[in-house]
Amino acid sequence: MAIVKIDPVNRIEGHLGVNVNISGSSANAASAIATMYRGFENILYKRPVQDAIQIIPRI
Amino acid sequence: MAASFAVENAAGYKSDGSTFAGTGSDNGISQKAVLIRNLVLASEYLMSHITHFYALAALDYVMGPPMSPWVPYFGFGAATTAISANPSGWDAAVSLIQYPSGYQNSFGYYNLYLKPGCIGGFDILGLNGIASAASASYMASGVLAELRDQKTIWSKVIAEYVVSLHMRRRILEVGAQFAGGLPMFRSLVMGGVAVDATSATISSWIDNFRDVLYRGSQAAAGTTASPASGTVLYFIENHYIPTVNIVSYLYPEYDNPNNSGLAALSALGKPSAGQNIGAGYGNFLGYGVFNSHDTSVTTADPESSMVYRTGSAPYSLDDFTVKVTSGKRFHKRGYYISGSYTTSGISASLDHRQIVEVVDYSWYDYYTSAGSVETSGYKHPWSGYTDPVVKTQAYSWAKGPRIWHNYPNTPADLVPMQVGPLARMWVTGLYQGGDAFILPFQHAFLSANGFTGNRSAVTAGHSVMDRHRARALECYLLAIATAQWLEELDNSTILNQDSYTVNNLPSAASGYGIHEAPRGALGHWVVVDSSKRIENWQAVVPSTWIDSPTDFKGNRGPLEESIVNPNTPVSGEQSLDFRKQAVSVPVEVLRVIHSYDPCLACTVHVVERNGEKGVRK
Repeated sequence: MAIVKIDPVNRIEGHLGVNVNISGSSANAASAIATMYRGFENILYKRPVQDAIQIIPRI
Repeated sequence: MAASFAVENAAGYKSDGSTFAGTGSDNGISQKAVLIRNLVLASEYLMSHITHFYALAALDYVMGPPMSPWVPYFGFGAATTAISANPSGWDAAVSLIQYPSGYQNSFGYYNLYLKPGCIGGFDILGLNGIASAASASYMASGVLAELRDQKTIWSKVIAEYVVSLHMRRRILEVGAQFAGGLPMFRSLVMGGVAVDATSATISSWIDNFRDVLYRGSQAAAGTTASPASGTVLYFIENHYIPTVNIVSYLYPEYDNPNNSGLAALSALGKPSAGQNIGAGYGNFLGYGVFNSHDTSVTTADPESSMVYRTGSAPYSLDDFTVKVTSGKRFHKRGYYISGSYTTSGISASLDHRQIVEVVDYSWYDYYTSAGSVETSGYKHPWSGYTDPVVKTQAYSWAKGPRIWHNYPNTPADLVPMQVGPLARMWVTGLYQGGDAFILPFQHAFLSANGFTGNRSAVTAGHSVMDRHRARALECYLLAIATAQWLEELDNSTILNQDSYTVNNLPSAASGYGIHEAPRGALGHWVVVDSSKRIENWQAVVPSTWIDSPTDFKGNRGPLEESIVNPNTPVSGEQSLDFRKQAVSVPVEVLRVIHSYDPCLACTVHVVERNGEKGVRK
């Protein structure tokens, strides 16, 4: 069984990897991999609430 | 904007997860604020959709000149003997189109002289059996000559690509007048927008916006019914939608089974009808977006859209009526579970408590009240957390958002959902499986190429091409709505309203904001502590829905499902690498991924400690 690994996927915004297990001419398993930790939830902890309106859109 | 909706929801504004305009006593925000928010978001949508198709997706299909980023080519016919006997892709398509007489001489694309690898009349890569190579300098001048020659289809493709970059920049600029910079809405504040400008200034911004959208210049004629050449609406009608139509005509295998492609292609081994490549579950989620600025609309009103269709199928663009003064929102809130996922298709309204996340294959854990790791757990964002852990079976930093359809019953059914333009159009009832449309085929640059008038009816489904088609159609309808919002805002009563309305944020509150970013359903959930600080903030962004990993029930994420779909071939298309070696490229998978428009952690910057590599994305 062949595995096609596309990482990083180009021409998207951000970083994505995809592993595809090939069986015959189609896939029998695929994994979409977000390759980065974002951490915005933890950046915001205990900050003033209104800060979030300016920080969060930067995701 | 969902972040401000979440904070406003916690602060008691007139909100059902997104904030409405109010009369003053109902804690709504001003009509002016709603309209400015809509205009800014609309400019982001128009920018994002045009950018996505031209810069991110179209290059999977359209053959450009033999230079980066168009090389290596996919479906290139001359790479090997076997392939040349069975050419595919664009190469085959252009050789079969019925060109007007004399076209070969003036456009010459499929003349060997202009074949891939032939530059300036020389067969640089020796692929086409034409004698001689040329020096590097000749090669460079040949490329320049090619680019200057507007008679070749290649340069038309490049010209349109360049025009699209211009359009996306212009529409973002006019939105940025109100936003203080885009993307990322700088002037957004709790209760409205921080736009401290006189009515006269805002009126001039509105005029600039009109010019870019449909008028050409302040003096020139142009309406939304007949936009002036060079405007964004003109571009959408005469370039974007026709190009999507042409691509789906030349690549019918990526369309749904109700549609067929160019008949002559089937003789070369292309299927005559759509093969539904990239179709997924067919489950669609839309949070609803672009609230009405009508103060009489209440949060309890049933969902209704500003857009509706008149007449009967097949629907043309003229059969869509956009009226921003009617309806609760532009897009409705709700979700649809396809008949192939359950026993029958279900349309349902949405309660935000139905939105939960699983972490079975993500680098996070949930814990029981006793502190041990919870298996097969799911959490609503208010009680969720995003703390990284080391975990063997995990493979992604994305969680798996799911809809708890049978909420509050257990066991929860947890349904994966596709989000994005197709999902929104489906939920709103504007583009659902089986609907037929007549869309423009006439292309501003390629009309001499046989692409004239309208394409005979195309039918909606949920394949790769349906995602592109729904996105283009949404782009058109939203541009019309944007023109109407400009007129609504250009009204002295509304321009004299406050830009924002102050509400005190209570301590120990919670809120949620759900709306649609251009790429799909975006939600934020906030819990405020007793000192008015953030106790918990959880973001569930569009790409988390799309790129979601598998859950404990074994259900894949929507993107994974689209790739595993047996209709999606992964055998690859023949291409050439830079050493002229024939390679098989799994471009089918890329085309499926690109149709979803994923965006992962857009603005996360990593700074190298010593600074020598600067800041990278």
